[in-house]
Amino acid sequence: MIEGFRLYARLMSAQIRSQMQYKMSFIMEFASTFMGMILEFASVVVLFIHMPALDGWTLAEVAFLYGSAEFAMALSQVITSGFDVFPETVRLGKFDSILIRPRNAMFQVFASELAIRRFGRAAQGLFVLGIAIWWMDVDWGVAEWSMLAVMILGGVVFFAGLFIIGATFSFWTVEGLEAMNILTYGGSTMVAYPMSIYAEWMRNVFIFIIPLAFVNYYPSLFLLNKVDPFGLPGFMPFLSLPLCSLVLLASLVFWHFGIKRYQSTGH
Amino acid sequence: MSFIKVDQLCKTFKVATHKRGFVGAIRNLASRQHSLVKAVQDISFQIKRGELVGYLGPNGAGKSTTIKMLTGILVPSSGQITVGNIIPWEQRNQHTRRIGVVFGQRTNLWWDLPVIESFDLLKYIYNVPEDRFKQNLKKFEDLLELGEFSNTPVRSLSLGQRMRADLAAALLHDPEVVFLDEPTIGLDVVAKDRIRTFIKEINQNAGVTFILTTHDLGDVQKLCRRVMMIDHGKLLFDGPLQELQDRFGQERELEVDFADDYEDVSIPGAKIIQQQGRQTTYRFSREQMSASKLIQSLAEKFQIIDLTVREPDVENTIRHIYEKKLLSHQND
Amino acid sequence: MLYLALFRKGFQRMMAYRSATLAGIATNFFFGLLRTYLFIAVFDASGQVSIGGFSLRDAITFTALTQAFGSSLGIINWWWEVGKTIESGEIITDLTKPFHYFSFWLSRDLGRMVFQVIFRGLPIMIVYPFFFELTWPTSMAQWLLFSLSLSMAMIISFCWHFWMNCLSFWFVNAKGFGRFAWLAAAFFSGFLIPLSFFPDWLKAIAMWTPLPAIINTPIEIYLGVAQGAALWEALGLQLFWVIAFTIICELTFRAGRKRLVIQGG
Ligand SMILES: Nc1ncnc2c1ncn2[C@@H]1O[C@H](COP(=O)(O)OP(=O)(O)OP(=O)(O)O)[C@@H](O)[C@H]1O
Ligand SMILES: [Mg+2]
Repeated sequence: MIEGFRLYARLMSAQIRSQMQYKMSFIMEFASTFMGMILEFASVVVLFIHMPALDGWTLAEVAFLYGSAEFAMALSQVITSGFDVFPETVRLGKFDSILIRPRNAMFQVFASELAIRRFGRAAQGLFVLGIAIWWMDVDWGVAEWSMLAVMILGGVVFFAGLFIIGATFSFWTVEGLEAMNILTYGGSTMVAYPMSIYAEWMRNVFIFIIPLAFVNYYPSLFLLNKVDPFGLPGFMPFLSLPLCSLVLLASLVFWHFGIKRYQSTGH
Repeated sequence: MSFIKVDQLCKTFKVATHKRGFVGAIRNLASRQHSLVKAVQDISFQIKRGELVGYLGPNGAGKSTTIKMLTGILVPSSGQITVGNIIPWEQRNQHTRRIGVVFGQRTNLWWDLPVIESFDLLKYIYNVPEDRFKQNLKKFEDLLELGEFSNTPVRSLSLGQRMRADLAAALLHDPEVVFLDEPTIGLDVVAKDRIRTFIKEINQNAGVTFILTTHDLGDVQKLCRRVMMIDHGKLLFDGPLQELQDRFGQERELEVDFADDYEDVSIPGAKIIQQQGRQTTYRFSREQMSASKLIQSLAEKFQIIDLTVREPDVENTIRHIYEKKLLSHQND
Repeated sequence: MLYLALFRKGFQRMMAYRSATLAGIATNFFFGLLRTYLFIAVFDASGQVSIGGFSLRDAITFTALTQAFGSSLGIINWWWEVGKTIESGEIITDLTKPFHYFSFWLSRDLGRMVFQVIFRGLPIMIVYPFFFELTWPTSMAQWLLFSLSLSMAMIISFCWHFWMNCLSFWFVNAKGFGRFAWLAAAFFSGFLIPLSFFPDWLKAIAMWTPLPAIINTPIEIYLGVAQGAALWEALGLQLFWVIAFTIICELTFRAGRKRLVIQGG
């Protein structure tokens, strides 16, 4: 495991060095994504012109949800860039080169690509999150900061699991599982707003079947001292990391199942 | 004592079939059909340490598929493989430490990194001790002349350079067995020679086992004592190159210079394949007629100045096998 | 005819991506659900029945329409095919071929758009009413005007993308800029939220760009928010952009080509 992380660091630094040749294009892609995504948040701000609060959540509080969801999701996307291009890796037979190395294939896939541009989105999430933290009415003590850290970690782990599951489908289909976008992009958009605004069936699915609500909603209820509108037990916020880790675990199991189905290419 | 054991190996691919045209495209939208391709069928063989085996067969025969199973990339549909008692796809970690792989069609190196950095990463990935790494690198640099391009990113290398880099990379960690899938594809004569010499050197001096697929019979002649031939996924021949030639190299050629212009120089049992002035070339099969018999019947009718008997070369033999499907008839 | 054949090819090409189309519909619809509930909550919290001329039902219809036609109109997805060939220099070979470059890509992309209107747009408009009540055009004329407006929106959307792609002739990093332009279009076209929700100054900025003509105009016509003089004005503006933007694209492309030829890439 430790070895795996060291390998990751090693391959990544090689990646970054090779990408540094195109420094300017990085900066451009980073900046454009950052600014473009800020406009998305601007539309949330515009909505608040027409209302004082969204289902009892102030703009700062919604910004906290939005920022944490975006940040966790984008960070996870950066880390799993290799899985993002995995359908292509498989289609071109490049996965062969990974399988002939005596290291964990998954770590090698992690390290096979680094989409710097995605940092732009992460930065946007962090920016909005930062403003929210500064602006929100919360006494930031050790407990709060730890909760925040655990919550972000949980989110990263949760989305990484989903990305891996989606990529693993490329062992069967050419395109990977695009429907996974519903849970990744859709999921991070969903938890950018309070869960209470959605239909009951949606909430139930994303609390009890897919633990999306634990990515940031329950931890936020804890941080903001809000009452759980669904009347679930008070320990829910603390289930965040364990449940999210479960998703990652599921993705690992699925991966090991899928890798045996790898067909390579015809030459 | 066999090092590599392959027993009743099979691999079947499931391939989606697309219908063509506008209507076809709409039907694809609704349903997608699959067909099965039997790439490798029931192959068994054994290879000892230190052997250098050529794996031949026409396009689409199943060579690469076999190599991919031997290297642990593909999991067989059925059958068994062990390489030194290890099952490639199950104990990938141990297996890959002991093997080296080169795909002529595609590099295993990091596309954007300079060659030397790729080597550095490999040193790390395989835990090659520093001194051993230096030693190997030195050796390969001499043998393959890597020096001139070791700081160039892989993507900018020429095909020949890339192949040399890949070959060196496959051997950096002192593998016990090396799989080469078309290692000389697209190379010029000099580059081919260099690679052949290199392979021979490593095989003889370090005792490394080699299995190589190729369409270049120069590779086979220069390197392989043993050849295996496969077609339509079935192993058709496994033995020394000489035996292949003796068995299937049936067509010999006789070149005759006549002393005079003759109207009709045909002889039953021999085919005239070329006629140029007074020089005529016959092709005749070993089974139907001996050379002396043919010469005798020619000498009875015509006056002969000069004669040459040509034994079939490997290329012709193999062309003969591929075209006539000789071996598959024997097996079926 | 070549361009008709290209149109058909563009349409046909999309059919190969069967699972992508299905996944796209599902994803678009899911986002539709999320956005719908957001608007329900917004109307709830605002305590008003109408915001900027939109009733709640209009706002829900707005999410349906944007999710249905957003990919077709290039707001949800973007393309960089021309930019890519310029960056790689492959465009040189395209330039030697006997076709009008702008029309070549326009026909191909219209093929894609029409495919997506039919196979990604209509399914969503059919599914939506099972979940929410929608506003529908009240007359045949309104349907026709909407179709007209949608068609013009497609051309303007194409121009927007094409023009951004052409910047690659001048800037090495045009792709980054293109990405920003694409993301900005989601906001300024009135895709994320209707332009009439904007404060006046912000809306004024948006109206100076061709972007509202891609999303906001067809939707306001569909919903009947734009009526009478305002409607004709909106259509006129759209027509203006169709013509002006086509010309701008053609001129930009010619200038780029000239630059390429002179500088040798
Ligand atoms: N990943 C794959 N998916 C589907 N079919 C495949 C795949 N790989 C190989 N095949 C099919 O299996 C058969 C054997 O292919 P293989 O690549 O092993 O041939 P080969 O002997 O290496 O040929 P060549 O000399 O052309 O490289 C072919 O019919 C090929 O189309
Ligand atoms: Mg092959």
